[in-house]
Amino acid sequence: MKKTDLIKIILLWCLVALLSAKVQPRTYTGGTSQRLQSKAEVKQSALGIMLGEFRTNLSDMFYMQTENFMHYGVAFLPHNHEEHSHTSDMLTDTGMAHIEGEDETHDHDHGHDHERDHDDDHDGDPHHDHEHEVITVIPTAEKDYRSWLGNLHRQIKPWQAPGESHQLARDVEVVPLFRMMTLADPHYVRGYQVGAFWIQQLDVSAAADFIEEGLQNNPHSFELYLMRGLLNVKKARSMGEQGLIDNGNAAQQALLECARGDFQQAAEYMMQVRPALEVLEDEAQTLWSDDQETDAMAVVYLWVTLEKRIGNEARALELAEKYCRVMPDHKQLHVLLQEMGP
Amino acid sequence: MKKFSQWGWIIRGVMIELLRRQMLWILLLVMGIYALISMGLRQQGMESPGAASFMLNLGLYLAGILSQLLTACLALRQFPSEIENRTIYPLLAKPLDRMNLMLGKWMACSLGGLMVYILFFLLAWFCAPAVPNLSGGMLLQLLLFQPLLLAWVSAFALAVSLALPRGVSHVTVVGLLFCGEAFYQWGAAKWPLLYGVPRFGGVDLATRFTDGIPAMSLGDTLWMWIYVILWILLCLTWARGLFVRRML
Repeated sequence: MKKTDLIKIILLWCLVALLSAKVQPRTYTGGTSQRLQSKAEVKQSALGIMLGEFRTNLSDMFYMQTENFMHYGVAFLPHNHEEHSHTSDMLTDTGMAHIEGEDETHDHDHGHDHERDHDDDHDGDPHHDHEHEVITVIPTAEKDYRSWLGNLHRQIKPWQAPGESHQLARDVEVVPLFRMMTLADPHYVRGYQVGAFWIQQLDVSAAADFIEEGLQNNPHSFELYLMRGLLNVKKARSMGEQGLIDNGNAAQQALLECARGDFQQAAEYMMQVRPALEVLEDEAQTLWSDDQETDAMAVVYLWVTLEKRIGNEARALELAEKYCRVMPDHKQLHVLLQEMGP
Repeated sequence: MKKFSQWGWIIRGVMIELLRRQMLWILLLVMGIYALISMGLRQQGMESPGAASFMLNLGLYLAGILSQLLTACLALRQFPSEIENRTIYPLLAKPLDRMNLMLGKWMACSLGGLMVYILFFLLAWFCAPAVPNLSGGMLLQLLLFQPLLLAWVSAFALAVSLALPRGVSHVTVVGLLFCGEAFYQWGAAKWPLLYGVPRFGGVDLATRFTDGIPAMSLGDTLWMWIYVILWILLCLTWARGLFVRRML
């Protein structure tokens, strides 16, 4: 290229760079697309619904990808349905331990839906055993009608016998997937919730930021308030010596106060969306999932426990009585009520 | 006069290539799907202006981005294919000088893109539900600016195709087409070099039009035209520098 051409190109580039800031045809206020009413109309339109579904499906795919990723590509059937529902179990167990000042590698004596607890200590040793056998998407040789084709399938795809102890990938590596699923659908609450759980193992502040973003996009999500409360409890514990709560430590108490506010808010929003008992008793109902019920139970349990821990025994008792009536199947809460009972 | 006839032949060749490639038909299919959905919604009676405006915006956005994509791909193929297939030698032996060949290709790609844009625009305009309170002046600005935008895309793609290997040039141009504006918005305040990123998305007036915003002032319009014309000049100078002295 000739030198003069090069000089011309550089000069022109400098000019366009200077002009670039002047070119802002999109900086205007208002406009149909910015009006809240229009947004609502678009959301309700057939195309809006289709696009919304696509966005949700995309997030679901990322979510399933995290599942496969965690198990080095081995797809386990029950995991797709249960594992991350256990995240709330993991969260609540950890949270309870936080509040009650126990060791985090505790024995889960809170009785928090024990039948379903299995992968609890993901934050510990990555090698772990399943307490009960899980089913793989590719069936075992005994259950596979495809004969040699099935053998071939098991050979060429990541697979291992369901009963065998298996490894988990490093948790940190799934974090970008949670980022992507919440970018694809900012209303994918589960992505924020589970993502924050993994992030908090690395950096509690980053997890708190992630949850704040989730709350901005989903201001009425009780699951996110639950998560924020848990993070506040974790922060409070990290301030104390050996992770213990000291009643004389003002900073810790302030954080616990914030957590209490979060659990209270979560309980309020939860009660607004949780269907009536008679609806919940119908097994065919689809309004309320098991995950939501687990989180709902966690919210009230944590709130009551925290009130008790702070020293508001009477308030804790009052809340326990109230929510035992609302959640007759909440075994831990009933146990707690008996312990506190007059 | 001879020059116009030479350009005419180049344009004819590029148009034949455009029709023979599958891409046009694939993009037409995409636009057709939009048109079908849009007409279906129109038949159902889309009463809310918000949803109707959204549909029109989607159509105009698709018309703009698909025609830009087609223009870019068409321009990106021109020189590498001619050089690879050795068909550039008979072209230059016409005799046709390199500068005119380059200008002819640029005009041909821009024109091809413009024709496709007009087709897609008409599809979007007539299939989308009627939107009240749109500015006629803004529509005029949108339509007048589109040929310039496509000429910019075409010149940029030609220059990049001469500077980079085929695959890399495709990724670069298509990436900037979709993300140039996002890069600028994201980082220009922190890294002033990003002021020099080509902002194809930044000069798209479709959303402004469907938002019911009045036409831009003369000053703003002028700045935008100068910005794009300078970019075209830059790209053509760059392409000329790379092509005219290139060893074939």
